[in-house]
Amino acid sequence: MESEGKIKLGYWKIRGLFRHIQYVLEYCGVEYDTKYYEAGSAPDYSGKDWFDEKFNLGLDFPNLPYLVDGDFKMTETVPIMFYIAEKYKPELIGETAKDKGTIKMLMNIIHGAKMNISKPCYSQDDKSVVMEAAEKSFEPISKFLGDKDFFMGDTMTSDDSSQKPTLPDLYITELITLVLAFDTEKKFAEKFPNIVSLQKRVHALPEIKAFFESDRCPDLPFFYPLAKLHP
Amino acid sequence: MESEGKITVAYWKIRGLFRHIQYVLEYCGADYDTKIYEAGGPPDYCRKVWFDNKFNLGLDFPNLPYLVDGDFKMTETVPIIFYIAEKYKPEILGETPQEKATIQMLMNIIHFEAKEPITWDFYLIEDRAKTLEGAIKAIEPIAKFLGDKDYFMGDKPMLPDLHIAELVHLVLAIDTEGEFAEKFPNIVALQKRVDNLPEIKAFLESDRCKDIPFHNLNAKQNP
Repeated sequence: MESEGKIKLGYWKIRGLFRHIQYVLEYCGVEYDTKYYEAGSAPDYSGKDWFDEKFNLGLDFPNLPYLVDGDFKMTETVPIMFYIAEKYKPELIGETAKDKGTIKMLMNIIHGAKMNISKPCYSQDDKSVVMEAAEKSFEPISKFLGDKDFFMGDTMTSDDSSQKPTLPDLYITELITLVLAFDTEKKFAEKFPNIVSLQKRVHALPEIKAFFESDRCPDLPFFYPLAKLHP
Repeated sequence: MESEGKITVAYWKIRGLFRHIQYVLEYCGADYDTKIYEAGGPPDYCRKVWFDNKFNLGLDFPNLPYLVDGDFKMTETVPIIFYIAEKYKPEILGETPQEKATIQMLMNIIHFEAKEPITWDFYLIEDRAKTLEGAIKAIEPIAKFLGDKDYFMGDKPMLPDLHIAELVHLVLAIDTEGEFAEKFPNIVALQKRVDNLPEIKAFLESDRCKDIPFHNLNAKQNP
């Protein structure tokens, strides 16, 4: 089978930011290859596998994750997601200027939440700090979702009134999974049942269900081995 | 003159993130009002004027800057900028998926890898030289991307060109020995080129371009 036209992504051999991107790739039905970079061995986890290549890949702003699509190369996680959606399923990013604006705002907010929740896991080992950040971040997000099936409700469609997922729904799901993995006392789940339902609803989408059952969804840790706190 | 269709953008009484948004509003020819929140001076730098209103404005994710367009409201600086461009001049966002993605990547880099960390330094540290060093490091790959092109994407100004101009103003304001200007002449040339665009030139000469500080008064450096 020829791999011409197949896009390639590179990331650490962890779930990290990449699993978020995979939700978008899979929902859009994109054929892709993944280059996984090894962290290396304890105690350094030097990431030599990546750092040896980092500046030789023709990337303008070398970083992980990266995407290569023929001659086209890019970095930056959220722009990568928008590129995939734009190319394969543009309805995920909105039709009108207002819908596009709301979706971009939500993506920014969710990315901020992802950073606020993940970063403390690298710098300290108190789980309560992480859960507090998660509650604070998700409060306005849960309020925005309300009792809709997906963030944009039924505003994305003109002819039919069914609610469809858009990019923020696909992006937030892996973050919910991460928080729930820490939520051993189920306090978060109890506080934000609509968020838990959203995660289940995205997981039940046929494309996502098929992804979970495939070999493209390996059992990897959430974080880079140097993180002080893992779920 | 009716204000239907006029958008409102709100911010502190500083250049801050707002001047960046103004470059886009002005280049796109958007009709806009400004809602200004004025923080207090020393010693308290009181922000009551904003915090008393913050949660009563119907914003889903209350913050400054915010934008109101009729019933539509939003926050988050870079999404606001994209909204304005999408509505008034979508060609500055790119045509093909690759162009659009490159522009989004550049906006991410300029805003989150340069503007934000440089601004934090102005607020948190007094060391001008260290701030400049950080700015040089952040701008290096951006300058490399620009190369000898007139604009980031070639021969036409696009969103990232408009976004970076104010940041260059900020850095040049502390570039007392010309180190930054010497290292990145193409970036300084880009800023001049953007400021000379007819729409921007007119803006800079108008009363919509106020002589106000870059940062809120509690910043450790405020050139």
